[in-house]
Amino acid sequence: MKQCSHETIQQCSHILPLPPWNHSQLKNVCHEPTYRELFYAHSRHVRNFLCYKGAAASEAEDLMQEAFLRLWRDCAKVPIEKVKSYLFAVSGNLFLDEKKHEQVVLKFQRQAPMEEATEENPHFDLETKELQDRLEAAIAKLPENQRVVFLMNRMDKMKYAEIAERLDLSVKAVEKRMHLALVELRQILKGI
Amino acid sequence: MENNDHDDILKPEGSDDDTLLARWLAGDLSQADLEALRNLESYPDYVEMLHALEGMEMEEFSPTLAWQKLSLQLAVEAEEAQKAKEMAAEEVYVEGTAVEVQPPLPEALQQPEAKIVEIGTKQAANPTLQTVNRQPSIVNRKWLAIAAAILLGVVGIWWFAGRDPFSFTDTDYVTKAGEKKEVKLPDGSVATLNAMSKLGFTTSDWTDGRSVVLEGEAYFKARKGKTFSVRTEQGTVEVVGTVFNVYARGNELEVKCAEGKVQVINPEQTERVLLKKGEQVSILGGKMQKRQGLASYPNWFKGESTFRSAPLGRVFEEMERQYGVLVLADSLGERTFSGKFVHGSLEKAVKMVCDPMKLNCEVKGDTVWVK
Repeated sequence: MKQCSHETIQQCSHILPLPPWNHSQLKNVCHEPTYRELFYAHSRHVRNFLCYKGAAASEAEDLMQEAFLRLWRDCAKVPIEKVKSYLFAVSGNLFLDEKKHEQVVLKFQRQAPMEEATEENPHFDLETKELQDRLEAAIAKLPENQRVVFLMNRMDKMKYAEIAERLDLSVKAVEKRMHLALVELRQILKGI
Repeated sequence: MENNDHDDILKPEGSDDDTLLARWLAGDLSQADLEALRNLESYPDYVEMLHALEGMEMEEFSPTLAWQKLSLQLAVEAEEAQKAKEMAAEEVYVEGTAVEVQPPLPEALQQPEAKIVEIGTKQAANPTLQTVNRQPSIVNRKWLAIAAAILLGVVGIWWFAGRDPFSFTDTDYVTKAGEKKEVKLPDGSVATLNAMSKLGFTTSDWTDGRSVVLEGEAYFKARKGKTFSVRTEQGTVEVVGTVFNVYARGNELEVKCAEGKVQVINPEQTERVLLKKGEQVSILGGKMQKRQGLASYPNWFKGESTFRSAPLGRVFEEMERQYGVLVLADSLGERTFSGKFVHGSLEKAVKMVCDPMKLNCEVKGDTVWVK
């Protein structure tokens, strides 16, 4: 068996987690290709996150850009593994600082649901369009923290652990919000 | 231990299991829990809601365009910071003291690209500067900013774009001469690499954005989903879910759209073109040319290379890549070739090109002589 000593730590990185000081040297935010890669990887999700919070599309994009600008200014202070939570926290605060948001502006693009949808419930297709309209309105009525988690999972296809990492929550907390969001959505739709 | 199997069936959802529906969506429920859930009166409502949601999407977003905007802003900031730094430096010279513009960073975090770190130093350096009136008037500053934006926009895009794109991928595939390789991407999309090509992507970030880097040629079958982008030195290709071929070699980028829609963006990101089924575009030395109708449907992955009015040089280069041979030609001039050659037999392939072109070709070992 290969022994991992101080000298061989590089080769053993698959066994031992790299110490934080080493990690930040290998890949850090001030390195332009890394920064660009981070932008390509996260810009959409940050922008969507702001929409879920209630920002209009153009406002969401501006705030996302501002969050990334701040990341660049702070690049030496933000370790790479903290970038995601940094971006979501900063953009969330930027959103709060904006003028008050009276109404949630959430508009979705529509597509016919996937073919399989009809198997389980044959009546589904007829009412789809109408249901989607009502759903859009109901989502806007959800409490913000439920709406954000719910849409990050449903729209961005993020796993609960991924959402938890970005929003600095426990996985359990994400699951609770997710569960509650579904319960509430149904109640809003049913007029309960 | 309390047994609450029975309660699970009777209670309405969420009364004390406050993550049931979440775990259901994640596919994390035990058989018993699942059974209980399916017996709930509200279960069909949830199924219906989630299915309706499947057909709803967020408005599209182009990371490439957004990046263009951001890199321009970054370049302007970098210029301003540079100016502030120069002014601070002069100030230091006069007063003979060092100006610490930022608290010193921990050793481990200090960057070789220290210049960039200093973007944030403008405000910090200002207290010393305000005593000396060096600031240009408002009007001048405005023009300065505009000039800087124009000048540095170009430099900035180059600066942020001109690095080895493979330095940040964690999974790379490379093909040798004569080799083809089918690569399954994390989302089930498939890329088929032609000979002497390189494809890379970052697995860890894949769920955040579907993006690959390509050098050479590949045929993509991208599954439906979020924007799928192929970045090459010669330009960027963005699709949602479609079938297309990308040829990126030398100073040429050629994209053929076989199904769906494909967006192609030049490296400077000043031009973009939307291809529909059957269209192709080439960027040659920075110039974009869109052509209707598939000039040659890419079928190199079926064992032959097809050309339509292709420069002979390019035809022989492809032969070199497919067979790992060296083609020595006196002068091919401006001649173009329409037709194809097979991949199975070098002799046959040479004949298929040279005969219709009335070229005198000879195969000697690993070398093809063309006269």
